[in-house]
Amino acid sequence: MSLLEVRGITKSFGSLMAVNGVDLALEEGEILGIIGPNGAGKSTLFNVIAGLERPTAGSVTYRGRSIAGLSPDAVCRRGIAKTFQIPQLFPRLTVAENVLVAALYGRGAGLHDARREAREWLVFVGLGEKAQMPAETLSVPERRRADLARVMATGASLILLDENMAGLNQKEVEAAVTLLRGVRARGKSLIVTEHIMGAILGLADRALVLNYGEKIAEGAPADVMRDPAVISAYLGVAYA
Amino acid sequence: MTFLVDLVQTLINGILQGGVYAAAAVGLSLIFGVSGILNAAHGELIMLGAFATYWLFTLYHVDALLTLPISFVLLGALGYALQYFVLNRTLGRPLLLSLLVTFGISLILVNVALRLWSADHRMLRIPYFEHSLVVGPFIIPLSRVVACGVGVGMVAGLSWLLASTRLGRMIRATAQDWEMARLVGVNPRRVYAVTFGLGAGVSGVAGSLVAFYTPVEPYMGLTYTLFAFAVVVLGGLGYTAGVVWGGLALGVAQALTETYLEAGLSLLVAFFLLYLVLRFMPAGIIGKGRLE
Amino acid sequence: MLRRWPTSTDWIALAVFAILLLLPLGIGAYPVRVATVIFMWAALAGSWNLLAGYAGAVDLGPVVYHGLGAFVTAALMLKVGLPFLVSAGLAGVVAMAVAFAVGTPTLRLRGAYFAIGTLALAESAKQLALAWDRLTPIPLTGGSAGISLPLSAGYLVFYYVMLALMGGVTAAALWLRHSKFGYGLRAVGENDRLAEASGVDIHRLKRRLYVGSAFVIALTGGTAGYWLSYINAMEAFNASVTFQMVVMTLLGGLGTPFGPVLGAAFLTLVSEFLGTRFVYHYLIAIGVIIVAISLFAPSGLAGIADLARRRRTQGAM
Repeated sequence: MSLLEVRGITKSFGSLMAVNGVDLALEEGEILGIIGPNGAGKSTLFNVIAGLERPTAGSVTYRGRSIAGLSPDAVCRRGIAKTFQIPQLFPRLTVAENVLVAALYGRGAGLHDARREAREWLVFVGLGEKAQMPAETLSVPERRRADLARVMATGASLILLDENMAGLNQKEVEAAVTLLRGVRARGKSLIVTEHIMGAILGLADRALVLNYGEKIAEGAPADVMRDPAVISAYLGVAYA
Repeated sequence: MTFLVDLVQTLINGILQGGVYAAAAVGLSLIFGVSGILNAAHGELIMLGAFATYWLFTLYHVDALLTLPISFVLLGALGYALQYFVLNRTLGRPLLLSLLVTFGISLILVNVALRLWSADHRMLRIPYFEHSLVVGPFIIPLSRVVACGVGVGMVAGLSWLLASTRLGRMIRATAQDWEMARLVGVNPRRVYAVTFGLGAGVSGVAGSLVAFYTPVEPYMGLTYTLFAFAVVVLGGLGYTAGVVWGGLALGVAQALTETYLEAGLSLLVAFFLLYLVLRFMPAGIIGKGRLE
Repeated sequence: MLRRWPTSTDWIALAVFAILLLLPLGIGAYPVRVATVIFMWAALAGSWNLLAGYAGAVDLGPVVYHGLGAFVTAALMLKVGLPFLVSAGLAGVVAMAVAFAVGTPTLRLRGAYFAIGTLALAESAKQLALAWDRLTPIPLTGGSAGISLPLSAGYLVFYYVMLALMGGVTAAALWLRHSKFGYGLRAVGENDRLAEASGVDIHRLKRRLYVGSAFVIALTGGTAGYWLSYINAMEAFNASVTFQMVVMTLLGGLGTPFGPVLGAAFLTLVSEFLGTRFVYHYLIAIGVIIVAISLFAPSGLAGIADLARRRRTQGAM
């Protein structure tokens, strides 16, 4: 049984079909990359899995139990956590407190343990010194890392990373990839959406391509990127 | 047969009142839609408009209908000043702030009015409004017809201004994205001030219209603020033309309550209706409102 | 991590509380009465502060529970013959039940909708209370004439009840700063969508707070009613009660544990000295103060005190 099974997920907003009949499966310990042009439905798919949107049709099963239609906090407590494309924070709480909330409520830890967890995850993502600063003072790349620490502190086994590396330069991307490999080494499974091909090639075990809400390719990242359908989706038919 | 007559008379009363409610609410809707400010002093603008008409008519014998544009200008100027000098500082800050600041303003306005004019209820007696139209078995007071007509006319005029004039386009652009608007040369601070001025002016006229047939007193504002909220929510928050539907719904609901239940419950019905719509149809009865 | 609680502020608060317990022994009846009024408003403002300042939900209808507490307490004392404290306590429980029923749908509203919705409910409740005796066979509210209660023996019991309520609310506010429940509430107040995505059941947390506040607010209503020996629907359910709670919290410092106490003390004292003689001027001044504080000193009196303390410690370094 796969860790996550998504079958026939469709999500329409009025007459716009953002996601149309997408299937995917993720095994424990896997890193899956989802790529596709802007508007392909990647974020919407994530939102459906994380409980932020209700699917119009289809099912989402996590560890054998259906989770479609659960509220976002329930999904989080079950073990799936998502980062935000535009990193979110609790601005006037400290960085440590930002992560603490996730440990208290996502994982359900007691105050003492939760504080310890929060500190550990902050050190893991390299924000240990900023623990007592108000979160709103963090720079954007720091916010991304804080978001990651938060998601780790929820105790989730499945982490959805929504364009976590957007806007990073080459060196920063490499650092992020190393960090995420470390996350997998801790026993987490990841689904990563990205525009940056290099990140996916370096990180993902498997890749899946969405275009106009539909899956158009799936397989090893290198193969998928040579797939003519994928190339024409990104660059136009002339390049296929 | 009398049941039918009563029902239609009730509906007529409700529709006429609804037109005035629409005018009383459109200012609130416009301001909220454009600058995101929930104006707790809205009713006081209406109250001041009512007093403007009262005093102009009583002291200076200005023709009742002529007091309307004067009311518009006076309240419009007040509104512009309020936004420009005070409320522009609340932009970009949480909702509670504008709510509190406008609440403070309402306290000031009510108590200045009390200080100047005491809490006495005053009723206008306008000779040519003493008549009623009699259409078959139905009695339609002239004052209410005129009030409704002018009220709806104002809403229509405002909608036209927003849709078809340059000013209207600037306002709509600023409402959608004030940073973009700035990039194309619009001054958002001025636009917000003009918007508030427009909204206040229209509310002032609504107050003047109401003065034609109801008593005028400093505390009358709160009820109109609540009614205006009700109308705006019923019609759809952020959807300005919806105030017509909201006004109609509120006016008719109240008229029905007064005829078939009892007059004292009309407020209860209004507020409970507001609550139900907020909870179960937050986009308003025709569903075009903005959702939070 | 440092063991954070209790802090030195908490010890000071405890000391002040102890002084207040003994205060009536040393001062006369009039100051005790003024103090009782301050405690009541501190309790009311303090409850409002929790939902609005910590959890970010602007409730414009808490007066409902004040009125409910007043009338249920009166009914239990007059019709069932129960003693005051028992009646008030039961009224509090009734208020909690109503708050649960009302809060469940209403707390799903957010932002402006929640504010308007609660205000609409409160005004509906006021109208309902005014019309109740006319509409139902149970005479409960006395319409616009109101209800008289038996005269109370002394004034000390009210002092201590209100002191207990203020103490309870302030203690809760202090405890919430470093407790799991408190972190959850503040997360909701800072960014409720993010809180939800981090596993916080925002609806349940808000409701718990809402129900708890209803208990306190109802008790203030019941106690104030008995103290004044008279209640009527127009005043007991009046929106001005809510507005005072809001203004006092804002003046004192939204989101701080002692802000409501400071705001309540300040405003009550000002109105004692100015209110009866210059009502309109006083209210105009309050309006100006609200506007000024909202725009220029949104952290209120507590913020100013905090600033002063920080400047002093910086100067010493």
